[in-house]
Formats: sequence, C-alpha cells, structure tokens
Amino acid sequence: MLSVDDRSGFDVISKVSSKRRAPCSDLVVSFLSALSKSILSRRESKQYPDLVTFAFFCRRSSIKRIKSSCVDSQVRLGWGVALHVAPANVPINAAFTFVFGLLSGNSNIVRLPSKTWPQIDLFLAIYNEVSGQNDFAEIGEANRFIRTAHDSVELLELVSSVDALVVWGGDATVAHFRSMQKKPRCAELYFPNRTSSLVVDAKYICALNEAGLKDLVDNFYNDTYLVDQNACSSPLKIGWVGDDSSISIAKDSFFRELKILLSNKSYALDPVARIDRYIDVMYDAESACSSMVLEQIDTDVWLQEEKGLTNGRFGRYHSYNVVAFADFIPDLSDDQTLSHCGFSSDELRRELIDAGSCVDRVVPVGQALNIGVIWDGVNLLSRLSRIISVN
Amino acid sequence: MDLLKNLISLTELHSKRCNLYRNYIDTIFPREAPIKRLADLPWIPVRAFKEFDLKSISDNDVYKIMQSSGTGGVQSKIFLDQETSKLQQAKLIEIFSEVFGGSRYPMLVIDSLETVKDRYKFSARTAAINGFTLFSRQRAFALNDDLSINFDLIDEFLEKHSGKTIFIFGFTFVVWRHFIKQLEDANKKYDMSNAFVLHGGGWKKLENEKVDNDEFKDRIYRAIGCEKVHNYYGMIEQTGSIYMECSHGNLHAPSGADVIIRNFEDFSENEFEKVGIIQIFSDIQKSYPGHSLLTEDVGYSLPANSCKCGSVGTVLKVLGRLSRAEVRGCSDAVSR
Repeated sequence: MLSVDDRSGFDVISKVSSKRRAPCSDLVVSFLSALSKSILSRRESKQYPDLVTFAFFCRRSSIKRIKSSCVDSQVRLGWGVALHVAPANVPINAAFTFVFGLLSGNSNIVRLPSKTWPQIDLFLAIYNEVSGQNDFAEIGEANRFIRTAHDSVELLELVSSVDALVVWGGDATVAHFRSMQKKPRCAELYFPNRTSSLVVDAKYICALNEAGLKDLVDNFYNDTYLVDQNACSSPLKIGWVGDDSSISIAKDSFFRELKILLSNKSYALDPVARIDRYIDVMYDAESACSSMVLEQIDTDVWLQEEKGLTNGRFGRYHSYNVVAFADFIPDLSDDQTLSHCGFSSDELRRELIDAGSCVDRVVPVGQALNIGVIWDGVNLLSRLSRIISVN
Repeated sequence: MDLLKNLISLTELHSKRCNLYRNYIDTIFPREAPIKRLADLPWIPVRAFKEFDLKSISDNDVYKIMQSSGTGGVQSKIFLDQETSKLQQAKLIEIFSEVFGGSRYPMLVIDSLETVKDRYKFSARTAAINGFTLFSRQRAFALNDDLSINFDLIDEFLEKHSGKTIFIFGFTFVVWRHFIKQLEDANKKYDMSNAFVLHGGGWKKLENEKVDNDEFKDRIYRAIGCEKVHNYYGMIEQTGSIYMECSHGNLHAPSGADVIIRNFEDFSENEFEKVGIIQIFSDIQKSYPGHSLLTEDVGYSLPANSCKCGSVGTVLKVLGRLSRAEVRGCSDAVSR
C-alpha cells in the first residue's frame, strides 16, 4: 500500500514494470488460483461473503471458463499499465477490477477509496503474501494498490501517463476523471451510476411453498439489503406481473416473509440513511407535484406507487403492477440490471431486445450483485486488451 | 395542551400554503391517525432546508432569507416574513432576559470581525453573532482575522466599560480554542468577574480535547474570573427558540417549544433518559414549515421537574451529532 500524495510513493509507481501479456496467461491463472486458495484457507475470510465470492471467482476452473469464452486470447495483448479507480462503497470491486485488468494482460495500479474496509485490508495482506512468493515476483513488480487525494498533482500525472483507465464511481467522479488529461491512445472505461429493477411473476410466488418463499426473500435480501439497496445493480423498481388478485396475494406473502427475514437478521439501516429516505420522498414529491401512495410495510421496507421517478435506495422501492412483462419494459428506460423471479432469462432478454430496451443484464433474483467480466454491456476483457490482427 | 394545538394548526397552515410540504406529509404521514401527542405530528428532516426552498409565504412577503452554511458548504435557506422575524426576536428577548435581565450590555464577541463581514462566508456563526447583537450596546471583536487574540482591543474595551456588566458571546469551540487556550498559553489573565458568557454551536469540535461543560466553566473562571457561563442549543432553522442552560447547568425547552427523542431503530418516541435523535418543536414558524423538525443531533430528555431550577421546559441533554456510518452501495449516490 502506497500513498502517492508525495513524490516518494509516486516514484515507486512510475517504476511499475509494464510488460504486456496475453489475456489469461498461465502465470496469471496460477497466481489467481494461489490467491483464491489462500483467501479460502484463512478463517478470517469467512466473515466476508464478498471476499469469499471473489475467491471463488479466482479459482482455476472459473478462470478457465472465462479463458475459453475469450476465443481470440492467443492474438491479444494488454494495453500496458492500467489505472483503476475503485468505487468508494462496494469494497470488493477494488479486487475485481484489479483481476479484470490482470486477466486482460495489463500491469495495474488500483487506487483504493480513502475509506478503509476490513475485507480490503485482508485482501491486501493476502495479495502481498502471495505476490511476494518467488513464483509470482513478476506479478508483484507489475501491480500496485495505492491511495491518493482526489486532486493530488501526482494523481493527475498518473492519469496522464497510463495506457488504460477504468473508473468506477458516481456520476461526479466519472465526470471528474473524464475531464482529465490522458495519453492520446488511452483506453478509457467508465462505470457511472445506474439503476436496476426486479420483475416478479405473481402467480409463481403464489405457488411457492414456504421453503421456496424463504429462498426467494433470501435472494432478494442479497441483492438489496446486503448493500442497503444502494448498489447500481440493486433493484429499486419492482414490477409485479399478473392479475390484481394474484399480485395482491404475492405481495402479501413476499413482504410477510421479508419482514421475518429482516427481523431475524436484525437488519438496521444507518439513521442518517433513514433520514435520507425522507429527503428522497420529498424529492419525489417535488417532481411529482402531488402526494404519492406510499406503503410503509416495515421500518426499512417502503413501497411507493408512482411512476416515472428515479430515486430509490435505503429500503424504498417503486412498485408497478402490470399485466404482462412487456408493459413493464417502458419503465426500465435507463436500467442496468433486470433481476427476475419466475421467468426465464433468455425469454426476458428476447423481449428486451425486441423492444429495443437499454437494459444491459438479465439475472435471476439473488445474482444482481455478482460482478463478471461483462458489466454495463461491456466485455472488460476485450476492452482492456488489443487484437493483433493479420491479413 | 396549548402547544400541541398550536403545532397542529401550524401543520394545517403550512399544508395550505406550501405545496411541497403538503405533498410530502400527505405521502408519509397518514391522515387517518389522530394527533394526540407531539410524536404524532408530521415532521421534516432539518436537512430539508438545505435541499429545498420551503416557504409558506408569497415572494412579495419575503422580508429576509437566512442562510447558513453547513458541513460541505450546502446552505440552509430559511424564508422569513416580518411577522415571523418579529416573533423570533421576541422569543429570543424573552429567553435572554429571563436569565440575563432585560437590558443591553457592552458585548465582547469572541470571534473576528471578518466572520460577520464576509457576506459570502455567511455561517451559523455569523447568524448567531448578529442575532445576539440585539442585546448589545456596543460591540467589539476580541479576535483578529487570524483568530489570534487582540489584546489591545480587549484592554481598551475593559477600560471603557469598567464597572459595567459585560456580555461575552462566542461559539463554544471558538471560545475554547481561540480564547481560553490562547490566554492560558500566553499566561494571561483578565478580571471579567462582572461579565457573563453565552456560548453555543455544539461541542463536536471539542470532542478530541475531552472538555465537558464543567471543565469549560472552570477554565473560563480561571482565565477571566467569570462565574456566569451559559451554554445554549439552537439552530438557524428554529431561530429564536433556543434551549438555554439554567443555573443548574441544564438546557430547557423555552415556552412555545418542546423536544422529544426518537429511537435510532424505528424512529418511534423514546421515553425520558433514553438516547436517540432529537426532534424539536416550536410554535413561532409562520412563514416556513419549521415547527416540527427532526435534527441530526443525538441526545436524551428529562422531565422539567427533574431540574431544581423551577423551569417548566423539558430538559434536553445534547450528546453529539449522528455520524454517517459507512454507507454501502455505489459511491457518490450518497451525497446528492
């Protein structure tokens, strides 16, 4: 871990070795496999489900699958040195973005958010240990994790010197980095704020037995409350598909079960975030120019029936009753992820494509937060590497 | 209870005159439920004044807009008509005279003239200093622009007003850090035994220095020989209705105001002594819907009769501010 707000740290970075590799090279695959094993063998890791998910992602079998999907990996090379600006509040994405850069064949400098997270500290400790092994010395020399101030001269200099830039953050962060000076050929990738939705087949929920319902709300919890419903891929709109009576029965059982789950987990939102929720309602009331129908189902489960408004987080959802999925599509205008329950991903995708929708990703409920090499409609592996073509 | 009645009619008044307020409370607070106690009244987060223009008067009736910069530089905007402005002043005079008597005093402000001069740096400090200037006969600023002590000015001031009661006013942390500590460091003592000190603005900035009210008073006494030191709790969003420290060291709700505490878990009302989020009520806000506000301050309350001073106002113990925990999720979605 380095701070580059002074020259001494910056000098170390400027010496990052920038050997370009082919995507998913044997060395990288072995390194990630060793990293994965080391994470999973530590008892502390178990406390952090996100770190465990990351470790599973890095296993040899999982990386092999990615490699086989990248059919032209033999004729590709990384861009060189990639700078990653990790998001402030989805801690594990710092590790994921690093791995995407590494898999693509780049040397990587990952700028961590100023906030510290225990799972990231643990990840860094394990990373240092594994990359310190003789077999992986090359990896250690080619990659750095750093912290910098938002506007330090060194950061500006760094941005202007790298071959690729990956920015995860809010719209303001993205705008900030977009405006900075870069190399003319710098490959830039931005992941700004997005919103996401869930579509539910009411009849399917009505038919679920108790165990099925428990699974469903468990999955829903993992998509939402696990991150205070504040990740880009956490659903904020819920579309209930069906006739009025099945929707009403489905809602009742879904929220009854969710309340039990939240109480079992002693889920509590930060009081300031709860106050934010009241402010958010005021924003919606302002843009609606009228009062709205808001059902306060539980302390941290608010269901608002109003269309066309965009903000929703911290346990507040916009609820839509529709007869068919097609009727929900117009409300998914700028959405990233559509998670679903009781549908087939392929069929939903077909309908979205036919309707010319903006949705980038369709997943079953419970997988909304699972990040992969394809994100926001972009294959990071292809974007962070080049094809060497021949005629 | 008269206060409850007044607050209910203020809720109705603002519902009629401020569309955003009405649309907000109609969405969140179901109308069917009867309002039987303070906790049943609709409320808005005090932060709403930083995000929205909330006013219940026409543009023509706007007499003054009070602005304060909060953390991050976002300003609260409070719209006053003449009536509300007068009510605020009357309330402040009522509270002040109860403790310090009804006259005007030579006022020594523990701050720099720069703080009130720079219109672009308008802050809660500026607002408070100017507000309390109401009780001054002549005003002097004890600190230089760099917040060092202007010893010459203080000497001159004391000489000029020798024998008179002096009103010393400042923000708690400014009085502590830039006056008391500086005097101690300079090994300088004054005889201001004929003065009284009023200070407010919170203890948050003094958290690391581990100074409490008793220590604060003790050190003031040792530095300037003044025994009459009163703290107050108040905010620009409810100007006038300040919670003044009584002779027994307790902050009391003033007349026409009250306080309840909401718990952190589900925002329901806490009983006395239980720590939670402070909600303040005041019945003089006619021009803007600021009569029922959930603050982001943490504290607890005690019944008025728990204090021997005889005041009928609920006792408020302020412990600090809510801090934003590590909010999970995508980054700057947090701050709009």
